Amino acid sequence: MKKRPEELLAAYADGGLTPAEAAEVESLLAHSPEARGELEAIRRLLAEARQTGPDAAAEPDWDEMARAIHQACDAAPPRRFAWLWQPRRLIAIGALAASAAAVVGFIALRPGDGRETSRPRAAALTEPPATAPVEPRPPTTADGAEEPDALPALREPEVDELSPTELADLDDELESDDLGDQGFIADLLDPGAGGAGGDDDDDLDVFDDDTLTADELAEELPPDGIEKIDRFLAEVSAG
Amino acid sequence: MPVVSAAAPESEGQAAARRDGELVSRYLAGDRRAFDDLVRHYQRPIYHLAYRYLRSEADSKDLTQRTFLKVYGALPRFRAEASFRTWIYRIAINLCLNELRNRRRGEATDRPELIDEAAAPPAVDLDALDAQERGAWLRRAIASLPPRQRMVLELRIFDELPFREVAELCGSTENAAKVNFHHAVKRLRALAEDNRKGDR
Repeated sequence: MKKRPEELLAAYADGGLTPAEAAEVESLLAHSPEARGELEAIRRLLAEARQTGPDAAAEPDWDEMARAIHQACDAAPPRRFAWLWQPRRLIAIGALAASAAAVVGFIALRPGDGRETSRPRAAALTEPPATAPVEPRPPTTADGAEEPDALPALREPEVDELSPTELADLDDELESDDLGDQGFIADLLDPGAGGAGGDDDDDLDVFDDDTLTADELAEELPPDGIEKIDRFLAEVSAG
Repeated sequence: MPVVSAAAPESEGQAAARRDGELVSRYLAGDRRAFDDLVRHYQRPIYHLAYRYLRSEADSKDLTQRTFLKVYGALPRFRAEASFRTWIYRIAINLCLNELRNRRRGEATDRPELIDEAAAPPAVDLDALDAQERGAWLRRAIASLPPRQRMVLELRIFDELPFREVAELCGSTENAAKVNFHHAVKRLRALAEDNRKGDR
C-alpha cells in the first residue's frame, strides 16, 4: 500500500514509525498547521483509549486458570508420532509404502509361464474343499427313471492340477528368490545396483527434489524412527 | 516538536521474543516447566484478547484454555520463523473468529447479545459524560470499527504490539497496518466529532 505522510500521523503519534517515515511526517508537520492540529487530537484520543483500556473483563484467578490449562494439557491425548505429521515426511513415507505395496503386489500376481504360481493357489489345490462337491444327478423322467439319451452332466473342469513334481519345483523357485530376468524389480529394490532401471530412468523417479529420499528420510528419523513407523502403521491398520 | 522514538516497543518485542524462544527451546528439550512459564506469560493477554472479541468471561476462559491446548499439541512443530507471541496470538484470534462465526450461524441463539458485536455506539453528548461513560462509549466505538481497523488498533494500543507483528497477525504489510491504524483513529475521531456536534 502506498502511503502518504498524512496517513502515517497516527502511527507517528504512537511512536511506531521508522526514522525515515518519521522524517517524512515531520516535514509535513513543519508547514501544515492542520496536520499539527490533527496530530494533537490523535494524541489525545490515543491517550484516552489507552487509559480506558479494553472492555473490563473480570480478572480470573490466574493460578487456577494455569492449573486448569495444565490439567487439560495432561488429559489431552498426546499427539503421538508428532514428528511424523509433516507433509514432506508423510509424502515420503506414503511413496515408500506405495512402492512396497506395488512390489509385493507384482510379485504375488506376476504372470508365470501359463500356470498359476502363487502359494495360496497351490495350497488350495492340495487341500480338500470346505464343502463336499455336489455330484450332479442325471436328468430323469417324470416317473424318476433316467432319460435314456440324456447327455452326461457337465462337470466343472479341473484346472491347474499340478503334479507333485511341478509343485515341488514351484516351491523351490519361490524359496530361492530367483526372479529370473525381472531385472527392474531388483532395480526398484536397489537402484544403485544398475540393471534394467539404470540411470536412464531418472524421469521415473518418484522422489522429486522437494521430497525426502529413503536415505534422507532415514537420516531425518529419530534412531527408533523405523520402529515407530511400524508401530504407527500397525495401529492404523488395526483401526 | 518532540520526535517520538520508534524503537521502544520493538526493543521490548525483541526481548520478549528472545525470552519466548528460550522457553520454547527448553520445553522442546523436555523441560515441562518452560511450558508453565509460557502459560504464565500469555494467559492474561490471551484472555483479554478473547474477551474483546467474545465479551463473555466464561467463553474467554474457555478460549484461553483451548488456545494453550492447541499450542501444547503443535509446539513440537513450531518453527521460529515467526515469534511465539505472534503465533499464539494468531491461534487465539483464529479461535475467536471461529467462535463468532459459530455464533452467527445460530449456535448461540440463546445469547443474541453476544452476536451483535458491531453495533455503532449510541449518539450522546460526549462532553456531558463522565470519564467512565466516555470510556464505555469509546470501547463501543472501537468495537464498531471495520474488522481490520479494529484489529490493528486493539493490537497496537491494548496489546502494545509493534506494527511488524500487527501486520503479521492481520496478514498485511507493515505499511498497510500503519495506514489502517491511522484510518481507525480518524474514524473514531469522526464519530466523536459527530457526537459533539449532535448531528448523528
